[in-house]
Amino acid sequence: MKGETILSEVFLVASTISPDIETIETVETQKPWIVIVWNDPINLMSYVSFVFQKLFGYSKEKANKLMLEVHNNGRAVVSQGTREKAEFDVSLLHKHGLWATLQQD
Amino acid sequence: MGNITAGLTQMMITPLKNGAFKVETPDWQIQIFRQLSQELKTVLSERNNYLTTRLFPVAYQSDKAANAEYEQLTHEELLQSHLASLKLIEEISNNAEVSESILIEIMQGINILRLVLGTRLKIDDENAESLSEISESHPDHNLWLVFHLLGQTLSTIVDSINH
Repeated sequence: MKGETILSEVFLVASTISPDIETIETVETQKPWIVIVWNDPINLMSYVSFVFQKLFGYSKEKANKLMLEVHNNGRAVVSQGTREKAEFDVSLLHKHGLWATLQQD
Repeated sequence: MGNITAGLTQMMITPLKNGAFKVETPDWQIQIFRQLSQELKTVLSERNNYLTTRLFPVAYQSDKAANAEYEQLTHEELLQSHLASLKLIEEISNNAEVSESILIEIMQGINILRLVLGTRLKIDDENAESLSEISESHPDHNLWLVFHLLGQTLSTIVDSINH
C-alpha cells in the first residue's frame, strides 16, 4: 500500500538520520565551556597577571601572555572545562575583581 | 599632576624568612584606607548602586536567565568576600606581620577600592591616559590622587609577593 510505503520510508529516513542527531547532541553537550576575561582599563596589568598565576597555577610567562592578550585584543580565554568548572573559575575571578564570563565554545 | 606621595613614606612590605610579610603602613595611608573602606561598605549595602558594577560582573553575557540563576547562587558569597577584604583593610596597622594569604586578601581589598573609585571617575579605554593629566583645579583632582595611591599600593603588594 502507498501508506505503508510512506511509513516505511519515514522509518528508514529516521533510522538513517537518528544516529547523526544523537552524535550531534552528544558533541554539543561535550563542547567545553570557556572562561573569558575581558579588558578593563582600571585593572593593573601586573595585578591581572598575578591573579592568573595564583588562580590557575600558570607560569609567569603564560600569565603575562594571557594578560597582554586581554590588554591588546580586549579578551582572552583563560580556562576551559565543564560548565561547573567554568562557573567556579568565573566566581574566583570575580572575587579578584576581574571581569570574567563563561560560554560554551 | 603632582605626586600624592612626594615626600611621604608609603606602605613598605618586607618578605620574611618564615614566608610571612612585614607590612609597615604610615598613619596617613591607614586613614585613607579606612575611610575609603567604610564608604564602600555603605555603598555595598545599597543594592544596584552603579559604583559597584565592576564588583558584581555578569557571568553569562548572552543568557539572561542563566545569569540571573548564577547571580542568585553567588551574589551573597561574592559580597561577603568583598566585605572580608575590606575588614582586613580597616585592620591594617602601622607595623604588622601577615601571612601571604592575608596579604593577598588585602590586595583584593585595595583592588576593589580602586575599581569603585575608577568607576566613580568614569575611567574607560578612551580617557584612561588623559585623566593622568587632570588639572589641580578639577573637582575630582583629589579623588584622582587617591586612585593613583591605590595603584601604587597594589603594585607594591604584587611586587612583594612575586619576589
